[in-house]
Amino acid sequence: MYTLGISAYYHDSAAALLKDDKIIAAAQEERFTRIKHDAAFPIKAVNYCLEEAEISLSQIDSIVYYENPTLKLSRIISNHIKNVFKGFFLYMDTFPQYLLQKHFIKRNVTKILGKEAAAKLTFLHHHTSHLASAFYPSPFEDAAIITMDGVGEIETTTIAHGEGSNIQIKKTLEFPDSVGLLYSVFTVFCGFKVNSGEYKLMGLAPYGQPKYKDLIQDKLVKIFADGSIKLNMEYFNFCHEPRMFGEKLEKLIGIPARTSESPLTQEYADIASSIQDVTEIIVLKIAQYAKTMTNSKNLCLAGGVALNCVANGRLLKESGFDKIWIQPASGDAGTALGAALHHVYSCKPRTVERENTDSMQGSYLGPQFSDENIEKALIKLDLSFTKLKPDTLIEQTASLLKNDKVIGWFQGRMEFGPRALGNRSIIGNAQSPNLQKQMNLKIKFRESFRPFAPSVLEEDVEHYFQLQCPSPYMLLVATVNQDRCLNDGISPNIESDIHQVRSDIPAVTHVDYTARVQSVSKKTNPKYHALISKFKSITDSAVIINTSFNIRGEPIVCTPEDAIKCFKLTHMDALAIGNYLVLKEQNPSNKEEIDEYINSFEKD
Amino acid sequence: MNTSTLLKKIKYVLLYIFSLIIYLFYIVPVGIIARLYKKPLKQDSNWS
Repeated sequence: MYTLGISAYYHDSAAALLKDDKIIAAAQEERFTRIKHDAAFPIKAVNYCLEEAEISLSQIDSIVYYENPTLKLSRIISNHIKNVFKGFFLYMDTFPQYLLQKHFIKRNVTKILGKEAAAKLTFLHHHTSHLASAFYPSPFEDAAIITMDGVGEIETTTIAHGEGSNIQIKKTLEFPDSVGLLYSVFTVFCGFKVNSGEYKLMGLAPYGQPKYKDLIQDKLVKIFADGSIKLNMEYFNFCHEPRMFGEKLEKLIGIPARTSESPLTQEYADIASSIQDVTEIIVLKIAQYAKTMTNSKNLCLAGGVALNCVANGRLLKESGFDKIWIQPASGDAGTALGAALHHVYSCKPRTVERENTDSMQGSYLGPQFSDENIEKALIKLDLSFTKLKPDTLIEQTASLLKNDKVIGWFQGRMEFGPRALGNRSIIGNAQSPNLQKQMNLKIKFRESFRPFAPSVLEEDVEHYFQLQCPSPYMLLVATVNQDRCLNDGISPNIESDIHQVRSDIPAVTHVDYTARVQSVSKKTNPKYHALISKFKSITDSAVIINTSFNIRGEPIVCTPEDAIKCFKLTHMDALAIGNYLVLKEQNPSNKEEIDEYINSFEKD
Repeated sequence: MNTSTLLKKIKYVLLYIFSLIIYLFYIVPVGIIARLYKKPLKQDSNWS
């Protein structure tokens, strides 16, 4: 039985295909259309899923859409009832467009996939799709499940209990009281974009002090003992205006909202630190409440807030749960997978074969390309290259890494979710003191304060980080071991302390001596594991830098052509693509081409 | 202007009129009534 899950029309549209309960393929539409966070119907992702399974659309038994448009419509109307008069212009701006493009999903599916497909379409609740994406692929028979995001249909936070194939919703928090939206308000306040800038805000937070934390808790959000929250809507405008906040919030904070691309001053770092602290307090309280409600030892997380890996790190240490599993595609893309899984397990018992092994296959669920395809692309784009044996490619790549070269690493199946996990990655030597700055400014073309994540051999995690469990999806932040740190105790400053050497792995040590760890397992990614092992054998370091294979504003590369273009038009030193090694010195590019490439993507 | 563009424009106009009717004859009256009967604020929890 084939089940297709679809999420679309808000951000990060995606499709996922299951054969019985096995995940065959999953991918975000943005990777194919090259439009970051593409919200269009994921027709290219659907086509890819069908190709991967080698089936036609007519062989799909069920199609599940990730949310219920009728419930969503009722929330929109009820929001305008609550904000009658104030929200008239927002209503006239958005409501007709909503009806035209987003409400009649069956009609859209009929147009795009045909009548036969539309007849197989069913709808699930947004948060149930998130809950299912968090629980069903997890290695747990029994778990508390928490979903936190901006808003689904009505819910903004949901606590549920998962047992076997059953998910029982225990508590919900409703719009507009949303921890996700609260975080997004401050993301915008600090000059970043909603749905992509939250990560930057989290990276900015350690540069500041939580000076505004009490103000936020006193005036903006009431946090109850059980983790539920009530936003003071006098300061937020997102219910009745396209802008998320107005002058009243700026007056309360005491500084104007930062405009995009203007210099980042210490005040904004302090604001970031404050909202990060408040978010962590809320998330911890919610988790503790979920524990008392479900009495489970395990916790599963999904929803956009679950991508806040700093909060996840605290949950691991302080929530009282023994084990935590977080869906790697925690944003709305993952709901396509959750919707399909929920459909399957509504009529099939679920058994977990082995604890500690999830069913996400390392989240390597996207397309892969043969050497033949790669060679064709290299020839087509006129590059000089060398074909190597797999072992030689690993040896030469490790040697380049040792010499502080920055390498595009394109291998195997593309990752599902926002993180590159070693198949569509740009990699570098974590021991190099200069690489963070160089990679941020000359390769990623992004803000220089942003940290890079380390990939570390799973068996060596504890030698580098204070982390007692694997973190295969780069969703947990952990402190670098004390014996590796330098200059501990210096208070960070966004205007002067960005590029200090803080440990013996400086390129991946953030200003607060933490890192967003990816543990690499031999089982899920043998080639990447072999590369880091080889690097370890020649440098004695089991850690490398891993950042997504893209530049600012660009979706992560999908095809060999995307990868070659990105390599050619940035300052990467080499590209290891399939069994081919391409060196920049043999394939130079000119400045105009690079500028044109950078400007072809809207800055996020 | 060809027929399909014209039909599209007519559809948009009708949709805007429909939305306005919903606003004036549903959202406004219900909104006014809802303002008169505001739910008391919860004191110790906001979970549903």
